[in-house]
Amino acid sequence: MADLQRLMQGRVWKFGDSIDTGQLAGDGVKVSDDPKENLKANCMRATRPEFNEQVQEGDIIVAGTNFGLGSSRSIGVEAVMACGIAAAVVESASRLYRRNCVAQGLPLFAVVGITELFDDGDQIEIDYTAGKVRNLTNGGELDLPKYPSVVEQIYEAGGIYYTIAKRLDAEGIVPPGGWTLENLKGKQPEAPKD
Amino acid sequence: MGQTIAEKVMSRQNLSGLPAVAGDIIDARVDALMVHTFHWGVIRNAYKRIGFEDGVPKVWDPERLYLMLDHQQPPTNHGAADLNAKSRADAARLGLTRFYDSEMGICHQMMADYGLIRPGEFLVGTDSHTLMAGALNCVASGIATDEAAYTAAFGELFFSVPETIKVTLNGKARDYPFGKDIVLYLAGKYGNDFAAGKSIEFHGSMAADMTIADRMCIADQGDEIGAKFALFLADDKTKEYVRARTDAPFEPVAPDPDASYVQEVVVDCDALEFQVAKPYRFDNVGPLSDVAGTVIEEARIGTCANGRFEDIEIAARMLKGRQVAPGVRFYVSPASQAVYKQCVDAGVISTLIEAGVQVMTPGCGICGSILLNNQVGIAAVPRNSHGRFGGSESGDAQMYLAGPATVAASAIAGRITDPREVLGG
Repeated sequence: MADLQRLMQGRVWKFGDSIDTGQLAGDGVKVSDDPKENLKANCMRATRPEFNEQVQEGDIIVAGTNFGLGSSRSIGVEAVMACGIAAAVVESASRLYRRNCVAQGLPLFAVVGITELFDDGDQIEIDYTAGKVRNLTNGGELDLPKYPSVVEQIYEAGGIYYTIAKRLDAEGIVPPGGWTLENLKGKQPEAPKD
Repeated sequence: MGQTIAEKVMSRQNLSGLPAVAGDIIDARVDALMVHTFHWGVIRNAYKRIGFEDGVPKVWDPERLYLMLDHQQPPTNHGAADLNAKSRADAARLGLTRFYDSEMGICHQMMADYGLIRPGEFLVGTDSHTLMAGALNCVASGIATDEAAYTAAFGELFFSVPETIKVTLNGKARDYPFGKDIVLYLAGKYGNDFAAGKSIEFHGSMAADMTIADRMCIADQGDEIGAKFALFLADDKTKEYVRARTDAPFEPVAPDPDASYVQEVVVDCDALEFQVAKPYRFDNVGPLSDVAGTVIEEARIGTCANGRFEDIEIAARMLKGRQVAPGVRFYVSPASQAVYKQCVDAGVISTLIEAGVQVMTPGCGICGSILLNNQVGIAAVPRNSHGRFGGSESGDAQMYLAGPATVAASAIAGRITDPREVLGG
């Protein structure tokens, strides 16, 4: 679950401007029968080959302008999450990448000046409650924007699945096996393969 | 206070019934949702994850969910064939009346062909180029795939109401497609985040004079300059185009004369040279003369940006009595079956084949088909970023982007060439 109230800390992976979804989630090498492993293996590989090998769970992307431009791909967000990335703070983001991040529960913040504040490898702290993003390595902080309430609610539920389920439930539409709505908050398990 | 096109249509769709003003976040009804091949699979999966084994349990309006098995048909792997079969069963179960089954083409052009792009409507789709419909005054934009699972069931979604940039294109249409050059010029001058989530309205004498095909190219590539909507006014040409394809009623929307714009830009299109985007960005643009003479081994015309009859006809006109240069692979792919037929009926396809062009079936193939590292090509397609043509194994493939006249001239010469060397004038 993307718990916005939780303090997030991690290593910064710093990317440049105009990182598109093709670079985040293109094809290329096949390393596994698991699609997620392939997404990880190709994520940023063309322009930052060591990223997918060295990235750790909880690391955070800092990037320049127009992050996530290009083709609208849910896998553009999945690939980043498959790498263990916990959040991204960018100078600006493409609107469709932003929407895909909300729907899939990956916190993404647009903060002007963020690439000035961080070098690659710095430790970053995201304090959503206080509305601050801080550089724990070299000091300095910037204001973090608040999400509109509709977006905040989707993030708090870990993505849009809970929102869908809640409304279906209100209409009396439930799956054959029934459900416990609260269990649908947070990241859902992968669907079984067809 | 006057309203822009975006504000008018979003006010109409606003569930709260209040007027929508730029900057508002609203819950809105959509008129229609387009979902294409792969993304229906993602939506099915979203429902499976929350317990619905058969995928989508309901749709809000079976006549307004346009499900298009397009992009790369017929399927070339088992997963894709299986998804086609499941989509087919879903369409029958849900009673979808606008299901297009394994049809070679591109969803955006297919929607135009089938009369599903209508002036004044509010259309969303699971594809970044959904805003192409703005060429026909349809307020259209891409949405995220998983949130389309929500819209499929309920016909609603939250949106921010965008500010609008007014772009006035002045000048007179040329006798070859020029829309790509205009949008490349805008990208080069103002950057790939020119619009950054805003709506663009295209006004001016050139916007009025140009073909629907050129408007579609510009609206489509609105995504490459960051636009949420890329809108043209509905004129007689628009109405004629739409009425020839559907009997459904529609109501064009124009901005109020005192609408408020966040930025206004005027372009003298008559003074523009041919434009080319160099690798690896859509906004890495200069006049053709900057790169003239660059040797190429591949040329492509097609896609949702440049796969219309006019884009292909110019290639045939230029290749009549000529041949593709030795060592150059020149691929042409119409955007839909209807466009393909239009080309066949006009004799365009024969001319291209006689000249050595590889004419492909309609679809999205040439938008991302592989170019190896260090290979160089020129294409009338939407994108040229690192890895666009073969993923992370082709990060250094060099694709130049240009309008179809420039691509055809370059294919004939084997190097990037000014079309006027072929067309005269």
